[in-house]
Amino acid sequence: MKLLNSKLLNIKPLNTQLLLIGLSLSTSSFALKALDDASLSGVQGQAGLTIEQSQLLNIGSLTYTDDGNDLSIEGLRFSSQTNVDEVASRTYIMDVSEDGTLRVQSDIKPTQMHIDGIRINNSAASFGDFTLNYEAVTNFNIKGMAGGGLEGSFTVGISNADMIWKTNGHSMSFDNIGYNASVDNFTFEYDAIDNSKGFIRTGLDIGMDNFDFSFSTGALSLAGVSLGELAGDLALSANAQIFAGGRYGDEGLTFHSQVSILSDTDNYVRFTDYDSVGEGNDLFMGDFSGSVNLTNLTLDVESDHLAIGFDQMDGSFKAGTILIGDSSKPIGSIELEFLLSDYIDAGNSANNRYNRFQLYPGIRQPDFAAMPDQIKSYAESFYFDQTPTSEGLSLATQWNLTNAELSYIDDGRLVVFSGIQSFGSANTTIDVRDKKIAIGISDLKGSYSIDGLRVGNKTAPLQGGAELLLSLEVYQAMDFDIDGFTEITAGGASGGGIRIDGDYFFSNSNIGLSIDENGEGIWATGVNYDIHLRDITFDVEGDGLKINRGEQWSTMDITNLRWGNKETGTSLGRVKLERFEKNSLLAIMPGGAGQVCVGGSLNAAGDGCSGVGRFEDRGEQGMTVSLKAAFANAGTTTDGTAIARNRLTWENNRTENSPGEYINDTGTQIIFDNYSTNDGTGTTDSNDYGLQANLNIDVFETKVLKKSTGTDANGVAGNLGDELIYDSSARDSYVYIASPDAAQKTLRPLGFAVQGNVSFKELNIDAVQLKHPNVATPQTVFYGVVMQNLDLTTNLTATPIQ
Amino acid sequence: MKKIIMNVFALIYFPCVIALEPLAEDELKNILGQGGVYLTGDITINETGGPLNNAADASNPAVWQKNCTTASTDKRCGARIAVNAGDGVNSGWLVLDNIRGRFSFEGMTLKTRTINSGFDDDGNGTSDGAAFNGDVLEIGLPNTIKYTNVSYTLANSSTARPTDVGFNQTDIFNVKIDGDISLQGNLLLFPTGNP
Amino acid sequence: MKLVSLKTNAVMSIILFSQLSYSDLEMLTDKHLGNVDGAGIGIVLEDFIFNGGEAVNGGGTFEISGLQSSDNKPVVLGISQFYIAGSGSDQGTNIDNNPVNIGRLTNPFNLELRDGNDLDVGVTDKAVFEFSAPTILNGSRLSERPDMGIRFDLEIDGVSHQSLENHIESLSIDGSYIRLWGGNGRMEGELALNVYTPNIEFFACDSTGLNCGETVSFQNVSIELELGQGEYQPVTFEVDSTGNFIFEVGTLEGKCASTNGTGGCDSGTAGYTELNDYYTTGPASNTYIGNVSVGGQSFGSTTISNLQIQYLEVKSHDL
Repeated sequence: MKLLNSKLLNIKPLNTQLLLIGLSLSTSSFALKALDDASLSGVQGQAGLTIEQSQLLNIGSLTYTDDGNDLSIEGLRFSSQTNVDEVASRTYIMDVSEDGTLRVQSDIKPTQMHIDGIRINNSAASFGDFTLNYEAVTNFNIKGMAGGGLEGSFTVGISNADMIWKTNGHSMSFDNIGYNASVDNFTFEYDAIDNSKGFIRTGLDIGMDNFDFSFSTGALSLAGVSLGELAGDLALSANAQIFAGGRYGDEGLTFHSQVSILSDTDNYVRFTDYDSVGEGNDLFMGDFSGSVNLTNLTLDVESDHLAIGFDQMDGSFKAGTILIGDSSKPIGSIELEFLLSDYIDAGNSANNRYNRFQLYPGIRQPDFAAMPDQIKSYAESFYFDQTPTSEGLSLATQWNLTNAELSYIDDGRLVVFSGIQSFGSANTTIDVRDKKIAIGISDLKGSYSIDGLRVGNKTAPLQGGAELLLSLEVYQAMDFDIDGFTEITAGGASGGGIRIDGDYFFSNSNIGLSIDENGEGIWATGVNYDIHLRDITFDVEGDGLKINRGEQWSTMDITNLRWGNKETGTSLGRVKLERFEKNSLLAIMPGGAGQVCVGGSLNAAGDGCSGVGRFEDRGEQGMTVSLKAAFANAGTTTDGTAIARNRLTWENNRTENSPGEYINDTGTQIIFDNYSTNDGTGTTDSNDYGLQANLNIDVFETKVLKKSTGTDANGVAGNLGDELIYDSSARDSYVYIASPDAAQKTLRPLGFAVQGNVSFKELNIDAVQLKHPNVATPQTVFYGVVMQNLDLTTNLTATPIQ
Repeated sequence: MKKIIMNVFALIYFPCVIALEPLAEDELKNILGQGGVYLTGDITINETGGPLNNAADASNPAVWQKNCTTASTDKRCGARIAVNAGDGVNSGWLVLDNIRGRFSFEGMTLKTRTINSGFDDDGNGTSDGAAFNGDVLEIGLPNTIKYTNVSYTLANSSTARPTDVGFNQTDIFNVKIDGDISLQGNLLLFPTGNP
Repeated sequence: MKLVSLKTNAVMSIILFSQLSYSDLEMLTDKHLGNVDGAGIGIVLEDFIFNGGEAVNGGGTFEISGLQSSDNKPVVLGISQFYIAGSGSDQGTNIDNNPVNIGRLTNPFNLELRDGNDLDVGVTDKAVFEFSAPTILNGSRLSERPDMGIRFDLEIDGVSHQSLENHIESLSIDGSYIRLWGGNGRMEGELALNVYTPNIEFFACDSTGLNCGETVSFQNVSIELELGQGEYQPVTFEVDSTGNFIFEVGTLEGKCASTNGTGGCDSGTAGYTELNDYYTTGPASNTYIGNVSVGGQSFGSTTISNLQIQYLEVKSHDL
C-alpha cells in the first residue's frame, strides 16, 4: 500500500520512520480476470476500472516510532460488522477524464474497524479499545497542478456509523452517526517553508476551499442510555502546513493551520434532548462564522506519553442565533475573540507559561498523601477499582489564555466582558465505567480574571460592573487549586440529558468579588471550598435549559475577606458559609422582561404604564434565570457521608501566629445557625416551595442621573438631576442633559435591566449565636427568627459606572 | 474613563521629570477609580400578597389563604418576621407583621473606593483621609426614596406562626409611609483592625 | 393598649455641683477612654442628609397608628418632619445643601465581636456583639455633629389636636455603645448612652403648626447614661409567653452571700469585694444641663452625678 501511494502522489517520502511489524493478511481477494474476446468486442471504449474488494484484515500491531519512542496500535482489524471473522466488502470505480483528472468513486459496505488497544513503549495500560462501524460512499477527483503538486475535489458520505470507546469492559458510544462532507477544491503541494526551529525545512501545504460538512449523531449513549443527539452543518475554508520534526528531539510532526468558518446563515450546531415520551427539545446555535489559526501544533511520542502542544492559537467566533427549546425568542447572540499563546519571561523562567497536552495511556492516579484531607477519602474511593493496567486516558495539560473578549448582544445592544485572561495546569483522568464516564481532576492550579466591561461597542472605555455576574455565581477573578472527581451518567430528570455527581475541593484559593482591572477591590482570600454534588441533571425542555440539583452540600471557608489588594488589603475577618440544599432548581429560559413599567404597573394593553412609572420595551431577546433554592434543615446527606446544614459564621479577633497569618477558631464568632426554608408551618413541614427567584435579564438603555450639581470625576459639568447622555454611538464621551429628547435617549448608558421576583413561604433561622474561643458550644442570643410569606419584586437597572 | 484619565495624567507628568519614570503605584491608585454599579428601580413587597396567600395552592394552611389585592388590608397579606428574644421555650416573639409597600429610588451606587485624602476637619488639623489611606465599600444613597403605601405593624405574639397552637398576637402600633424621603450622602463600610 | 409600669430602685449619692466649661462639650468622666484600635466593620456616613415627613417633599403620609387614648379613642401620630442634617439647619428649614459627616474614617461607628474576657467588657468566656458610636477623643468636630429634629402631629379620634416639636442642635453620641451576648437562656446586654448637645428645644403648637407655646430649652446638655455591668448586672429585654415586653436591669439582690441585721453586706463575706467594686467603679450615670429655660426665663443649671441604677424593671400589661 505504501508503494501505491508513492507512485500515485509523486511525493518524496517524509523523514519519519514508519515500521510495519507483523503484517498479516488473511483473506483479500481481488477479482481481476482478463476479458475474453467475446466480451471485449462489446466494450465501447468506455474508460474506467471497477474493483470489488472483500477484506478481512487483522494487523497485530502498527507502530509509529519517534526518537526511539513507540506509539503502538494493537489488534487493528477490518471486518464485517455482524461477524468479526467475516469479510467486509467495498467497491472502487476508477476512471480518468479528458483533462487528466483521476476519479475514484468508492462504495464501502458496512464495515467494522476495531482496535484492541493503544500503548506507548509497551506500557502496562492502554488507552482502551475502539470500534468504528461504518458504511460510506466517497467521490475523489485528483489531478496534477502545473507548478507541481495535486489538486482536486471530493465528497464523502458516511452513514449508519457507530463509534465505541471501551475501557475495562465498559463502553461509551456515539450511535447512528451520519457525516457528509464536500470540498470544492483542495490543493496538495510540497512547498511550504518553515523556519521556526532555527533551520529551514520544507513540508506539505494543503488547502481546502469551501469545505462544507454536516454531521449528526443519533445518540451519545452510555450502556444504552442516551445523553442526547448532536448535529451540525458548517462551511469552512482551510489551509494547513505539515512538517517533519516535532517539539522534542529530532522527529515528530509539526502542523500549522488557518481555518475560516465562512459566514453562512445555514451554519449551525444543535443538541437535542429526548424526554421519556420521545419528544425532543433543542439547544441550538446558528448563523455562525469565525476563524481559528494554529501555529506550531506539534506531535511527539515521548517515553510514556504522547506530547501535543502549540505555540499559539488565536481566532474569533460569532453565533448570531441561540435558541433554547422550542422558543422563537432567541437569547441573543454571542461573539468571542481569543488568543492562547505561550509566554516566556526572559528574566524569570518560573513565570513561563505554555499550552501543552500530554496524553498518557491508562489511569495515572494522583498522590493521595499530598491531597488535602477534605477531598482525600473521596479521591481514594473514586480510584478504588483502578489499577496500573486499567484502560483509560490520562492528560497532563497546561494552558495560557493571553486575552479573550466575550460579547453578549441583546436586541442589538452590546456588552463585552473584556480582558479575560487565564493560565494553569491540571492532571486529568478519563475512563468509562459501569454506565458512566468518570473524570478525575487533580491539581487544577491556575487563575483567571476579567478586566471589566465595555458597553455599547468593543472600543468603549473599560468600566466596572462585572460584579453583576455574581448573581450567576460567576466570580470576576480567581486563583484556584482544585481537586475534583466527577461521574457523568446518561439520562437527566426525564428521558435524555446528563446527570452529574461530583466531589470538589478548592484549597487556598482567592476569589475577586468586586475588583477593577488592577486587582483592587473586595477579595475573599485563602478560600477553602468543599463542594459535593449529587444527582445534578441537565435537561433541555420546551421552555428552556433546566438544571435540577438533587442534593448539594458545601462549605466555603474564607480565611480573610479583604478590602483592597488580595495580599495586603485590610481584612474583615473570617467568613464561613455552609450550605445544604435538596431539590433545588435552576432554569435558563429565553426571552427577557419584554414590556416593563418601572416604578408602577403596566396597563391592560401592555404598552404603557397605568398611572405613575416609566415604560420600557426591553425587546424580545434576553435571558430569564429562574432559581429555586430549597435550603434543607440540618441533617445527614443521603449517601450518609456527611452531616450538613446551612450556617453563616463571621469571626474576628483571631490570634496571629505570624504577621498577617491568623488562626481560625481562635476568635469571637457570630453564627446564623441552621437557616432553612419550608412550606409555612415549620421545619417539620415539606420544602417544595423553597426560596424562588426569577430574574429577567436584558441589556438596555438606563437612566443615570447626576447626583449633585458641579463637575464629576471626569471633569464633565452638570446639574443635580441631569441625565448622562453619550455624544455618539462610539460611547466614549458624554454630557449631562436636563431633558433629553427621543434621539438622545437612545444614547443613554447601557446597563443590565433586571426584573426580578424573590419569594418564599417560610425562611427559618434556628438561632443567632455568639461563640467565644474558650468555650466549645456557642451561646444563643436569639432563639429563632421566622420570616414568612414574602413576595418581593424589583425592577432594577444596574449600569456599570466609571 | 479610567484608562483615558491615566493617559492624560501621564502627559502632564512627563515634562516635570528629568528621568523617564512610570507613575508610582500609589499615584496610580489615586487616578484609577474602582469598578462599581449604579442601581435604579423599585422594590415592591407583597403587592398582591405572598406565596402563602395563594388560595389555589392546596398545601397552604387555611389561615393564610386570602384574596389579597392592592387594596386589601388583611393582616395576612403582608410579609412577617418574628424574632424570639427569650429562652426559646417559654418566651414570646417580637413581630414585624403585615409588611407591604413599594420603595422606588434612582441612583443608588455601589463601588469600592480608595480614600487617601480629603475629610479635613474644618481646615485645622490633618486630613483624616490621608491618615486612613485605605479602601472602603461606598454605598451611594439615592437622594430620594419614594415610598408608596409602605406599612408594617409592630406586635408581639405568643408563638412564631399564626398556624402554631396557642397563637395569640397583640399589635402595638402600625407605621404607614407614603411619600418621598430625602436620603443623601454615602454610606462607607470598611474593616477596622483586628481580623 | 399597653400600660407601662415602672418600678425603680434608684440610689442617689453625692450630688456634685461643678462649674465646668462646656464649650467643647467635654466628657464628664474619664472612665471610658475606649480602645482606639477598634476591630470589625467601621461605618461612616459622608455628606448625609435625611429629611422626610408630611410637610416636606410634597407631603404624603407618615404616621404611626394603632394606639389608643385612655378612653379607647384611636390615636394617630403623624410625623410632619423628621430631619438629620448639618449644623445651621434652623429647626428644619435649612436642610438642602447642608450635609453632615457622621463618624470619622479614623474613628467610625463600629460593629464588632468582642472577647468578653477583655477587662472593660466583663463577660467571662463569651463573645460579645458590640455596636458602638465613635470613641470619645477631645470632642467631635463641628462638621460631624448633626442637627436633628422631629415634628409630631397628634390626632385623636380623627381630630387634629396639637403638634409637638423637638429640635436638637449639634448632637454628639460619642462613647455610646450597646453590647449583647447570650447567657442564662436569654439575651443579655449592657448599654451606654452619651448625649452631648449645646441646645435641645421642645415646644408645642396648635394643629396648624402656628400659635406655638413657649419653648422649653436645655442648653449645654451632657448626659452619660450607663445601664448594666457585664455579667454581674446584665440588662435583658424579653417578650414573655403572654406577649408582654419586659426590660430589666438586673438586681443586686443575692450578690452578697449573707446580709447582716440591717441588710448590708459585711467586709469579708463572699461577694463583698464585687459589690464594693460595683459601688465605687461600677456603672454610673451623670447629667449636666447648663441652663434650663422656659419662654426665655432661665432656671439655671442642673446636675445629677453618680446615679447608679441598681435595679430597673419596665413591663407592659394588657389593659
